[in-house]
Amino acid sequence: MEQMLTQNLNNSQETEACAAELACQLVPPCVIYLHGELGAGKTTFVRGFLRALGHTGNVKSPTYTLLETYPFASMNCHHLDLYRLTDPYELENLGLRDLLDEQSILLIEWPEMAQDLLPKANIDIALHYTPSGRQIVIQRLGS
Amino acid sequence: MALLVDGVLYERYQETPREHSKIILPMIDELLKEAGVNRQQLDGVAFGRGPGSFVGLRIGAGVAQGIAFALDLPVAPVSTLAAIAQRCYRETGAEQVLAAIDARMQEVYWGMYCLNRDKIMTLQHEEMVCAPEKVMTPKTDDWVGAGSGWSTYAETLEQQVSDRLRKNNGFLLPTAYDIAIIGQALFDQNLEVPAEQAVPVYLRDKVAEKPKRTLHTH
Amino acid sequence: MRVLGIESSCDETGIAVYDGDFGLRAHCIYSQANMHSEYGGVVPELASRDHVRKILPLIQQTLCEANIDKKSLDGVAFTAGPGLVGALMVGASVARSFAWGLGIPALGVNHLEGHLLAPMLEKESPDFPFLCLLVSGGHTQIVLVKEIGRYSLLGESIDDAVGEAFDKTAQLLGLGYPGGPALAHIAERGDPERYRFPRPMLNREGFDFSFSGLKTSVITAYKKLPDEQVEQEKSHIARGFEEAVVETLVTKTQRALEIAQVNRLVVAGGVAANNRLRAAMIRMADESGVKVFFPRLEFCSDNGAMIALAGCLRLTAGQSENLEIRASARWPLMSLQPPA
Repeated sequence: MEQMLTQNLNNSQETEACAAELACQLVPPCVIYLHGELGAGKTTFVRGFLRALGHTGNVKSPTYTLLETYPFASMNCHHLDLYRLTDPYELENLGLRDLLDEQSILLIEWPEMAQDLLPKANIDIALHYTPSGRQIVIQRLGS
Repeated sequence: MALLVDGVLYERYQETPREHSKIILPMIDELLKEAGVNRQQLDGVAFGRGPGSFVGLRIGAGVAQGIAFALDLPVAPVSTLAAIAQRCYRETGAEQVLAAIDARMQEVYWGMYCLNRDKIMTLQHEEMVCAPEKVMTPKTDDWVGAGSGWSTYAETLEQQVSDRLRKNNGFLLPTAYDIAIIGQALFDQNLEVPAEQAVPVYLRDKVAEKPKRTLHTH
Repeated sequence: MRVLGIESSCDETGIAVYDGDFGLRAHCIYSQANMHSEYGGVVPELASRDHVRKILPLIQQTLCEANIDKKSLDGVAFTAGPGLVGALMVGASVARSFAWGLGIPALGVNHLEGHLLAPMLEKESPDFPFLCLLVSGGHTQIVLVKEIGRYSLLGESIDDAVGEAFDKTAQLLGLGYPGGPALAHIAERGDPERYRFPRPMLNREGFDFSFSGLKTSVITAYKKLPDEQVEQEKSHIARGFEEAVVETLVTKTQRALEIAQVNRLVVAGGVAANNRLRAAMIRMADESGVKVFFPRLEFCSDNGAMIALAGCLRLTAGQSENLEIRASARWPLMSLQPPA
């Protein structure tokens, strides 16, 4: 049951709103890939996603710790940024195994850095620059 | 949580994902009280050293370290795969057990265990983590499968072990009782370690390991 | 009261023994920075794995250096947040169980409170109230410290912490990780006028900081450079970055001192080691009639001494906790209360 949705985003509010809508539809466990250039709005998307789940604090790109975990009452959201991964086999050191439980949603930026060692995505998201702003493509890849 | 006093077992068990850090010390307290033992009378600490959930393993190791160091006790690190095999023997009488724990990421932690003369499950070859279709299979007959890996990947593992398998016993968790039994055996054989060496064993995917290289510099 | 302190909130394992009557008895720090350097950031799982190997040997070493038997300890304090939750849980597990084994109380301490009270480890320490600028890899905050447990957060970074901005910029300039000190080093040769980067949020009211935009400006300037100029321009860019950071921190701190009407300032956290920041703070303090305190460098960055001290103060006041092993990635300073 593959579904594809394409939407134009004129500003960061629209990116956050789009993310919020998706967040409200998802139940863990779930793996989400986020593709896009630096500055394409991946962190903005994650911010909108987490806010919709009730997170009130700051959300920033986890480039410093590679992984930021946001605990909620009934689930955990793990935001990973694999940009700095120099070798896909370092994933073992990220403790990815431990994050993949029944209560977790994983948001993974730069999944391509891990080549094919990541768990398969349930949702694949790509953010692109367009002349007028940005475009998001959301693909649902089965359950 | 289990306490062995001269072969008599006192046990507490609670399956509480994400909560065990909260209850572990109060449970120890209760158990000692029930057994009428005070903490200074303990002779050793056995703990599940893995493989398993990284976070859980470290809490267990941390607690074992803290107690053992405070009370000057030796520690017995016990494999969680061995504990599953021991439990399988204790509950079903199986003397050859293929223990498998779901390691997520389409992999299992895997170990082959046989009963020794002292009725303790002992490891054959080595423990590993790998895809269920790549597990090392026994060369003899009459093995029983046990552990969460045998429920998650039942079909693949049954196919893999094929006619060497007598029975898939399915989902089975390691218990503190079996950890205490194996721990006792380790103490009897002087295989204990000092508190600071009570660290988890994580197991790495050796098949997937590649020599280090740099994909990009930033 | 004699308290063992355990710090494991990030990539440093810190252990100390603090005595309410005799002060700090011994402290040890083990830094994992080398291990994380190849990843260009702290890897939480690796940090946790290292803490579980290092904590107990370090406790043994600290007790040995203090010439203290563990049985003469009266309490154990550990960092219970904020920080990397996996790393915190290691410290919390060892600390609580160790205390349980000895039959003494254990207390979870707020890491930020540790930093705020760290100047009290020094002979010459500020009286309450004082203002604290906390600048580290994880935090950028201006806090009014009225007394133990009564803090007002006047401002903080809304995105990257200042130490993080230093490290990320250093990484961009090819100075490795953590490259903050290396960046400061090459900035010494740089021309302060060559690059004028934005002073983020300086013209806005309030005391919040933002360093993400500054980082972007640096990236933009760097990427514009022709290859043959990169080497020679590095030090100028580093200097321009440092100037922007220092001016922002000093100006906001000065304003906060005026608004809060206090004349004692503490500059703490790893970035307090930066010489240009120190010099500028001292200059500003002199001009405004403020006395400025810098804790020793080893007490600026993460350490067990500040946790032992904060724990000692609270345990002495009778604060206690049950046997739950807990730690939290987020634990706002403002939610703290004075000890009972």
